[in-house]
Amino acid sequence: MRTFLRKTLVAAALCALLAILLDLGLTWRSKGNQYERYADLNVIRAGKAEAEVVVIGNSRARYHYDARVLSDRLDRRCYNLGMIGYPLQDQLGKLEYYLEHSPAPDLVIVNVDIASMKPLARDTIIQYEQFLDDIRDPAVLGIVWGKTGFRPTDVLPWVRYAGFPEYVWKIVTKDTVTNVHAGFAASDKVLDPLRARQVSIPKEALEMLDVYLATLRIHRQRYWPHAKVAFVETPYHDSDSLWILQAIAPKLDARSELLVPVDLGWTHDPTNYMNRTHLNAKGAALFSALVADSLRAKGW
Amino acid sequence: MLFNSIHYLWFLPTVFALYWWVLRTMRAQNVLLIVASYVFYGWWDVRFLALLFISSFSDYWLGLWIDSSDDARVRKRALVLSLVFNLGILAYFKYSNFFIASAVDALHALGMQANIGTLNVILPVGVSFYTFQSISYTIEVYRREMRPVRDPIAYLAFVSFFPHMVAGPIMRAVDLLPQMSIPRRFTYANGVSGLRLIVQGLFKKVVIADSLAPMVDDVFRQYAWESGPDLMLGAIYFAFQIYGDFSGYSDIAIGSAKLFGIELMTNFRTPYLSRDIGDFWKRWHISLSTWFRDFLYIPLGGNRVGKARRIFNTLVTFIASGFWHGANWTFLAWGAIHGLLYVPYIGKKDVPAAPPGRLRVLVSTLLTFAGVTIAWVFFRAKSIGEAFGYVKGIFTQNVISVPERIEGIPFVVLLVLLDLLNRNNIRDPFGQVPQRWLRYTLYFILVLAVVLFSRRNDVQFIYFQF
Repeated sequence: MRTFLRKTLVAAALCALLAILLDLGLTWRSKGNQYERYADLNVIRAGKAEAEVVVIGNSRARYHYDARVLSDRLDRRCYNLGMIGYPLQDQLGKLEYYLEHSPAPDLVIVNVDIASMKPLARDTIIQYEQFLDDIRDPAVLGIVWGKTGFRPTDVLPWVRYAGFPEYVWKIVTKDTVTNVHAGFAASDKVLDPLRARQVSIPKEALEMLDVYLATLRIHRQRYWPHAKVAFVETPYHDSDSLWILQAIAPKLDARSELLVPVDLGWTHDPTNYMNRTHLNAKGAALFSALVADSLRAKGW
Repeated sequence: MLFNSIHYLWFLPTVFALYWWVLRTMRAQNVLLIVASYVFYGWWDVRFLALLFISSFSDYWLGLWIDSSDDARVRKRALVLSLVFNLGILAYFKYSNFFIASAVDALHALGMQANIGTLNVILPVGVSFYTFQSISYTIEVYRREMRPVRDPIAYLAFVSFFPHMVAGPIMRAVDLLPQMSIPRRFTYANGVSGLRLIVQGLFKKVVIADSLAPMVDDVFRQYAWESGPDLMLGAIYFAFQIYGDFSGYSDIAIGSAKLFGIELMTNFRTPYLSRDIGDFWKRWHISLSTWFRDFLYIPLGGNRVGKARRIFNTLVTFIASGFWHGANWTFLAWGAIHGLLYVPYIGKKDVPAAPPGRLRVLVSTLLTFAGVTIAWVFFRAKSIGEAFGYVKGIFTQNVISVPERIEGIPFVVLLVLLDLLNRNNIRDPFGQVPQRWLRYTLYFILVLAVVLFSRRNDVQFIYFQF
């Protein structure tokens, strides 16, 4: 029995050591990962995301804003903090992470979107793998802690990647961007815009608007009091009105907030979309130019 | 509780420590095994612990009753009571809705309307396994193949022993009960091979079966739109998914039992390397196939009857075996297909007159695998119509095309390699690898892969539903 236990414990210890080494290797490998949203936290932590204008929002912020176009048109450095699939509280969590590593921006573009407004907080973690590389960072841990899908053992080396062998493969092969995009573009599990407008707008979303604005304002007062807020409404395919901006208008705090209306005449053109709810690169460039022009018209 | 859950990771060492260091007497160890087994089972649903206890205790008592009498009628009455009780549990929990739905369908086909609602019944996990095990006890006592056990603790430990209670191997009382009635001894060899089996089983389940599962689900869900080659791959993936899943479970069960000094029977012996369907059934789910052989096929007349009757007995046995798996026509069809595949071998000798050539072995192995795989389609499909549609699609839907669903092939190859590596050492995988460094490298790869592939939500074993 004694020999059995000794050998088992030695083997377990060696296995744990190997797990730590592999984890270090993956950490090193992922540090060099500059792809898309998986790279965001790396870029932010390295202080390379410093910008005067940042965009927060969900996937439609991520895909609809071309930071280069905004930078060129506004003549200010811009950075896109959009997070795929995330509600406002997590978007603000990422902004907090940004603020820990960079000075506060002058302007925060808030991409207002039906999907972000419905649940302000979500109890499940969407696309958890985007947090794995930095899971032990207290700020990142703050985003995922207590949510379904997170396990306290996830802070352990190697164990944190449990359930995500494809992601590990992507880190090893540096294949992150292609597959994530392909998988995302192929997914049909995005909010149906028609349903969003017809069903959710009058009943749920507008009721949530006050909570949404209050949450945003409290966060602003606490973490970025000197920055201004620009509300931009996200375009869906065949958008016909800026209904959220219209709803915000009477509640606007004109000293620190501004509305940025954008012409929607182009939203019926399917060549601007990669699916019904997300713009492609062409659409993002067009939309970003319109946002920048609208901001310039307001003195930015 | 699932073997592949984080809970089992602390449950097993805790019971192990208590078993060997705190409770050193055989009786105390048996009590611990019962408590641990009831915790293990109750983790899923405490409501069915009573059913487990009543089922176990009634057979314990009936075993004593059978043995206490020399009157054949009394003995038979007690046996029938045991059969009715155990099969009644199965009939109610597992088959009642199937019979009701089938009766309604039959009446409807005859032009009659019947407003009979199905029952709101939950199928208790493992009920098919522990009832069959209990039945084997009373039959063996009735046949005087063993004396009944007087110690109720030993009997309860025999039925509920957690490593095998939920999904087998279905142990025969004559093999397992004596082990519950003698002091057990820990040996280094048993401990090591137990751990090896557990690691191998987890690898088969978590890495191979659970990775193939979503691919299989996809193909079967949209089989009408898949190409023939992809349908073929989907069927092959399912063959390996269910093998990895079930043999993985058996490995963990046997390995866990070894840690307690208890030997469970081998349940799988590289079945996909079988040369014919008879060979396959000596290697696949051995505990169930031998159960049906001993308690159904042989009582029906076995090999002692004419060929026509043997064919009939074979078909009945295979169909019953299919029906044991679940209350669906697809399982009956699966059993019937195996029965039909088996019929040509009835009357043939097991060992060929001349040693077959390598090519012949390869061809017969592939043909056997093809037959088994086609039968798996019926096992996996939701209905007979879907199964026929799937099989038809293999031969008719865009047959000349390059398969796209190739991502599962590495997992299939891994399982084949694992089988080839351990084919002569089923009960002690990797034990024949002479170099220690190579053995340890294999262990580490398997363990780290299991951690990496383990899902956020524990994935149930397929055979839990039976």
